[in-house]
Amino acid sequence: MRIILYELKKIFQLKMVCLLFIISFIFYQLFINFYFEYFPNGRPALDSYHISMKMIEQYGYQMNQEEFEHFKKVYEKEKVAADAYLQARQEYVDAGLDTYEKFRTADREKQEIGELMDQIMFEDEVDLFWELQAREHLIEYYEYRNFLYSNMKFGDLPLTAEQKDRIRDTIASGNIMSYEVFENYNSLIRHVAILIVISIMFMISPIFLQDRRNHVVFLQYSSKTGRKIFNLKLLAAFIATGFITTVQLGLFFILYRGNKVGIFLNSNINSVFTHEVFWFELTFLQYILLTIVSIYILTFTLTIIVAVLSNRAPNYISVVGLQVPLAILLFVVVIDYLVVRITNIRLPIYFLPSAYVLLILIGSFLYFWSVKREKKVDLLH
Amino acid sequence: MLVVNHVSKSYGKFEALKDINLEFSNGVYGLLAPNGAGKTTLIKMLTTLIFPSKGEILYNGTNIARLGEKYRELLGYLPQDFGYYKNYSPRQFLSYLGALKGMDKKVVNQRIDELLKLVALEDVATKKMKKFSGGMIQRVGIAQAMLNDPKILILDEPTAGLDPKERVRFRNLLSELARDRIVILSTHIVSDVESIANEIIMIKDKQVLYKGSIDEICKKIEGMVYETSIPYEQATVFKKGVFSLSEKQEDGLLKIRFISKKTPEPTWTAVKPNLEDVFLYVYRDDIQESSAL
Amino acid sequence: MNVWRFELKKAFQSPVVSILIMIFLFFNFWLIYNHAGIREELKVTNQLVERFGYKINAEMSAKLQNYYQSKLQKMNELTRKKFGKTYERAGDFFSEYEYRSEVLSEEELHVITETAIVESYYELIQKIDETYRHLDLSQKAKMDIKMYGLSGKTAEVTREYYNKLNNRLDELIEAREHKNLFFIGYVYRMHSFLFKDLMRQMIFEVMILVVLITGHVTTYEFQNQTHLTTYASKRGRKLMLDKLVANLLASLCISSVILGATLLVYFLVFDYSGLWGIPISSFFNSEFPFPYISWWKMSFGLYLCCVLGMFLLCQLFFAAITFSVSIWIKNSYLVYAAFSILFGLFVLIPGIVPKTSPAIFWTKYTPFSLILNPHLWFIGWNVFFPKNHEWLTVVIWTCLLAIATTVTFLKFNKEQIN
Repeated sequence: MRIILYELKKIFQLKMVCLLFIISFIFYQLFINFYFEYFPNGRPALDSYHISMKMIEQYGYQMNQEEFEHFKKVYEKEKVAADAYLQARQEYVDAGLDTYEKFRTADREKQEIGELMDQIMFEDEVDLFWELQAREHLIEYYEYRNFLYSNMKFGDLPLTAEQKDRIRDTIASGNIMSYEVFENYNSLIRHVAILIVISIMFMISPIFLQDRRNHVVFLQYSSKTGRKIFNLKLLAAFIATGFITTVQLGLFFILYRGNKVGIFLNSNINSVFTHEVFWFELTFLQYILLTIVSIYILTFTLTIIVAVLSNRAPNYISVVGLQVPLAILLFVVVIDYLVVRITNIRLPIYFLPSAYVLLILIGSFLYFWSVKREKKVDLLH
Repeated sequence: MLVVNHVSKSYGKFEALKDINLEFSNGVYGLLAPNGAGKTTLIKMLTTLIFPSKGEILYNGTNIARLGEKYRELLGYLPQDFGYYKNYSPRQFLSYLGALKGMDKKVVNQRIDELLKLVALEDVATKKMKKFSGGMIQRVGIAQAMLNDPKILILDEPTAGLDPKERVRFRNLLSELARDRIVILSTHIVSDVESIANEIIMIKDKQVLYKGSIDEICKKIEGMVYETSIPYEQATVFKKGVFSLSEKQEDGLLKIRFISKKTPEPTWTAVKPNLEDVFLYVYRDDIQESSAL
Repeated sequence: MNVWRFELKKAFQSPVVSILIMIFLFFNFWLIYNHAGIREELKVTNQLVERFGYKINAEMSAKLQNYYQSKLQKMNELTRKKFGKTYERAGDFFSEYEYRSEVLSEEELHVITETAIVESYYELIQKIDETYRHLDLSQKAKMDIKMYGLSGKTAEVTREYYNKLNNRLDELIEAREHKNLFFIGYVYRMHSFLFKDLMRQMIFEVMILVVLITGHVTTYEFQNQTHLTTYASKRGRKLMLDKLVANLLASLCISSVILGATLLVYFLVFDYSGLWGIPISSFFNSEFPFPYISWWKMSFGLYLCCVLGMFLLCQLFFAAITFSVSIWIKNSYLVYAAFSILFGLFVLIPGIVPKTSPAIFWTKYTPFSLILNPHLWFIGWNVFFPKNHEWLTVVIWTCLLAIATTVTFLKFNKEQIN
């Protein structure tokens, strides 16, 4: 236990922790902050978000046909208000924009009309008009909900019966979930996962290489602890990984609270409004928990890979260089399939468990291979 | 008792050691061989860093590979290139190694105090080792080897970087320690072992050449070592006929110490061979050997 | 004896360098492969250029029209035979395409596709003048100011910028630079593909290798405990000069390998024959309502050469930056971290400078900002892509790095090596 503590101290050297802090800060500024600062991103996204919230307050987490009719009625009522707004302004009546319908379908290309429209939408930012637009979108999503059948295809593959079932259930459910909130979270967790991967690669890479480079390894292997040091160091790496992941996620979720999505936590993410269907009936909160769990599995597997690389690589150029393709693979493929939109029906239901089993197998294989090798390796230089 | 039993070590086709047989009981053993003769390979096998390709090493009758940590627990080792963390103080580094050696924390702290005093580093116990001189680092290395009060102390080139005073202190320390433990001292500095080693092990051509007390080993060339003084002009011719051990000038003449198997001439004085003579003779270059003897 | 040769060897002796080069080349080839589906369609452009030249004028336009008409006629013969139907535009066929593809042979479909492409050229040519008439740069200035939230001094700079760009646009129209055939940018996006997707990918690949190698070679002696011997040798601390030379050479080697192999494959896959002399500001090259306007008259070939030149210069900068950092830090792992942090900071800073400060412009004069948009090098796009951006960046950073390297050398010469 004391050895693990000493090893942890070596991993969390002040210098490394400071650098990690700077790296995280820059990463937040460049990639993550945007999704906090611009959430919801502009209009009508903001209005969509507000209306989704209102819908849940009014109708609960599901909306049936009756409630939808009510929703449309509200829209019609607001449209009347918009008509009144336009008719009260002479310049709009003169330009032939005396009803909302006309306003909506007018030819933007004409300069004077374009300017009048911009006045309402961008200069005065009249909430009513933006809200109408948002409501239109929501109504469209609901009315054209069969669109999900084409949206959920993976490439050109035809839908399987199970996929169709899930889509049918989703359409029938009338679940209300905000697209903005869901997409915002997905973008965020994607980047946070990337940051965590970088942090772990950065902190764990030197773990074995350092001791080999300064020859302390001879003292370690000839001491009572001997070749057990591999396991102990790996354990220290796991603890470090767990700690880094937890701190990064913790920090992220503290900041994420500022996005005010509390009401949606109990929403079912299988919704015509998110345009997404999943294999399981997950609430947003469950989905969040699932992404967290997947990040942990991913990072622990990553830790083994990085540690083994550190144990074998002859120098830093190798240990960093070999992680470049690994990082690209993770950022471009793995995180998108194994963390973001996890359990989506675009991929077969058995994809996720098999992918994780594969990951764990890779990790275990590397581990047992290294342990076996460690047992009889000659320590020469 | 530590027994090396028919041990060979090869790397692929290259054979580093061949059929080594040795026995160690309490006392100081000097492992004497020139660089590259396989000294470090033997030591690395004794410290379980590498494993024999053939044969076995037994401690009290059990293979050390099987004993595992029970063996390493008794082991103190100073590697040839002793590694350390630049940003650690001796105290921090020794307590880390104490943990590796599986020692109790309280015991470690107490031992560290004792040892740092012993190697005269107590003043810099909490200073980072970054600024230490080679000798200071070497003393940290010696301290760490003795940290767990080992039954088997293996030191690879321990006196490198020590000044004469420190060297003497260190030798005395070893003699004292060796009363109830095995001390294996690898070096190519003959004077280091001459005064303290109970037994000398010489390795040549991947094999153990001699093993015995200094007297026994010196006997191998007894009656062959002479000293004489000759004028400089004759030196070149003279040296062709004998194996020269050392030369120095004295009273305008060259005083030469040499080995010869021929019948001594009257001007030659027979002298008692010492370990260095044996070393030079044993590891002489082949060319010289054929021409001189 | 040339010491730098030995240093250069150190750069390539690590197998990870070759492994990474292989992997990166694979990525590049993969990217090209994924885009290669359009290569047959692109050949129509080469044919047209071969037939009519690439300069668009009344005469050429008329010839093209005739050619198009005859093509359309041929196509209609075919469709009449097959479907009993003729089309006014070849494009109309494709709105019904899905249901008809099974009946057509590969070759027949090819005839129709070709007609459609020629048609696009013909129709787009008619639109050129109108498009350029509608380009209102003062409006664009207003939009930029609003979009980036500029005000005061920076808004003024923006307006000036667009004035300047407007002059260049007038000059360009005058010289008929825009009236040239090229691959249709709206459809094929070859400019973005080559100079943004592919080139940027290569810039990052080479940069990764350059930083890895430079950090490795420069800190080599300290990491291998050979520093006491090497820096006490006759060559002594001047060895760092050899290392600098070796690093710069290694950067050029890596660049040539990646660029050479990738571009070779690129130009084998996509046929640019006959198109090398076409100005990059051609209307057909534009991919968005706002066209690419190069600050100087540049043909595609010249533009490519300039981009490659900038590419190499940027990589040399990265090598020099890493080199200086390495001498200060001496631990290659931390050097890599430091470079990443530097990169992040230089990209981050322009974003957090107050919008009213001219600093938002000059903080972009760094190779780090530059490599983010290689497809906009030498091109007027918005206020952040001024006329002299590229060469000023090069001059400034050459000076900066010369100073930094000199200071670093001076420091290293006086340094105590333990």
